[in-house]
Amino acid sequence: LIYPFSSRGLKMRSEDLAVRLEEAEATLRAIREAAVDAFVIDEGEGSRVYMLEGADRPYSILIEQMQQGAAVLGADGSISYCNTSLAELLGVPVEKLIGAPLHGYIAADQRAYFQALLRAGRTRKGQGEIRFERGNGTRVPVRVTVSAMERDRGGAVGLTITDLTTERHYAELLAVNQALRASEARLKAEEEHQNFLIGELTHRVKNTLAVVHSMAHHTMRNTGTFAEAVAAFEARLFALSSAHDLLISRSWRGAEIQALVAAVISPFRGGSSKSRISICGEEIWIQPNVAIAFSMILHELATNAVKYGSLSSETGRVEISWEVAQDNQQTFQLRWAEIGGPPVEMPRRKGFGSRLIEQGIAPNTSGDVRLLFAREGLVCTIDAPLDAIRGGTCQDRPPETLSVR
Amino acid sequence: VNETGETIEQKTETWALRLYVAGQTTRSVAAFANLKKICDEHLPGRYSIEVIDLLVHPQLAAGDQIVAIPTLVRKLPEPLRKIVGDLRDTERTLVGLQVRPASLTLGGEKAVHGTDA
Repeated sequence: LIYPFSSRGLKMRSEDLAVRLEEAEATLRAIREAAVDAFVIDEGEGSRVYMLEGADRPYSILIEQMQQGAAVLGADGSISYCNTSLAELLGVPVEKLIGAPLHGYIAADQRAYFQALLRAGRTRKGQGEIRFERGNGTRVPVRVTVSAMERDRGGAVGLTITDLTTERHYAELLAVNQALRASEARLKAEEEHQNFLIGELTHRVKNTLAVVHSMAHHTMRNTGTFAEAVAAFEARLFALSSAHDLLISRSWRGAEIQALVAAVISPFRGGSSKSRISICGEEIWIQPNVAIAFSMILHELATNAVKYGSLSSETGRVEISWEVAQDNQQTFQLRWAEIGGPPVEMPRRKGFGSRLIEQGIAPNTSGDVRLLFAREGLVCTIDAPLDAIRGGTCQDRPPETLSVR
Repeated sequence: VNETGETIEQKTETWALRLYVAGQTTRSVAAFANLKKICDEHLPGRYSIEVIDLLVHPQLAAGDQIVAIPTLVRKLPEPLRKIVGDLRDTERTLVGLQVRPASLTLGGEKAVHGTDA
């Protein structure tokens, strides 16, 4: 028992007062230095905390209410401050986060990267993308901006954290949308191509039917007996068919003139005629409509040669040649020359064959066909601008016609 | 007393610290960050910090007679010590916690106070 006014009691009282005085002075000094920002007031029924509204109060409210996460990390990476948004993002209460190391919430394979980001952020502002790992194992992609705090925070860094989930979803949606647009464009292109092919097919069928119709009409009208007419028609149909076969094998893009001439002349080169028809000329890729016209003309010339011309005798022959004249227009010139046949006489009337030869090429090529009935042998020449003969693609060409009056 | 001013006894003791804060005010956040740094440097591996948010638990202020926030209380080792403020001055905090004797660092001037429990 110590009496208050005993010497020991007074000494203890004095020491207690000294301590209280020091405490009061230290508190006053902390207030003067603005090292405190809240006070606890005893209001009888209990204590209540009153906050000092400092100049930084509006900023604190702003940071607390912003949608982005915000945090201050100490030198060791532990969280000394974080706002509610970050706590919600991590699914952990704020009070559990304070003091905890943030890297505990970062996907294990990205912690080294995050540490490097923090180190860099202590000297200059840095930014990077990482994935947070929540307690339930779900991962959240975030963009982290790191910036150094003022010096008295002892190596602390400030972080702002943006949830990229929505951004990523949007990017994925955008990619899907772009892929859909690309397939839509592809489908449209394919549909257009299909429509083009259907149009092309229709065009060709109509043209072929027109050619066959014309051939049948003129053959039946101008050829002697029915049997002769049928034979002539079949032969013409065969010539047309061989040209078609060649064009189909080239996807109807055109044909090589050498191959075309060889195909049309082929039925006339059998037996002794084999070496009597010579073919000579440079290789030229010709348009489909020109190929059809050439095949018909050459067929008529060959038929005529077998019936009345050089191929009707044992010694006669035919020279088929072509070249491109190096004039301004680069004129294509094809020459059919019959040699060594019986003497040629001017025909009394022009049959279908002659009219086809003379008129068949003109509508397609602006070409000029001349028949010279020289006594020593028939000579047929075809002149046409090379550009009109030569094929590129089968698009944008004039319609094929076989118009013979 | 060793080279850092600690007694051999202190060197082996665990320091139980309690920091009173008011939510995440600027000074509370600064006090926590400063305290963490000081402890990591001077009491590595032998300290514990208990943070008490008086906005959430105002009734806990009475026990340690807290009047201003932030306030750090050294519960262990005894005697109980209190430091008011955001702990921005490391030397003053070390003296206040008695990690370092006042005479060795501040020429005998006591910068912070201590009180017996």
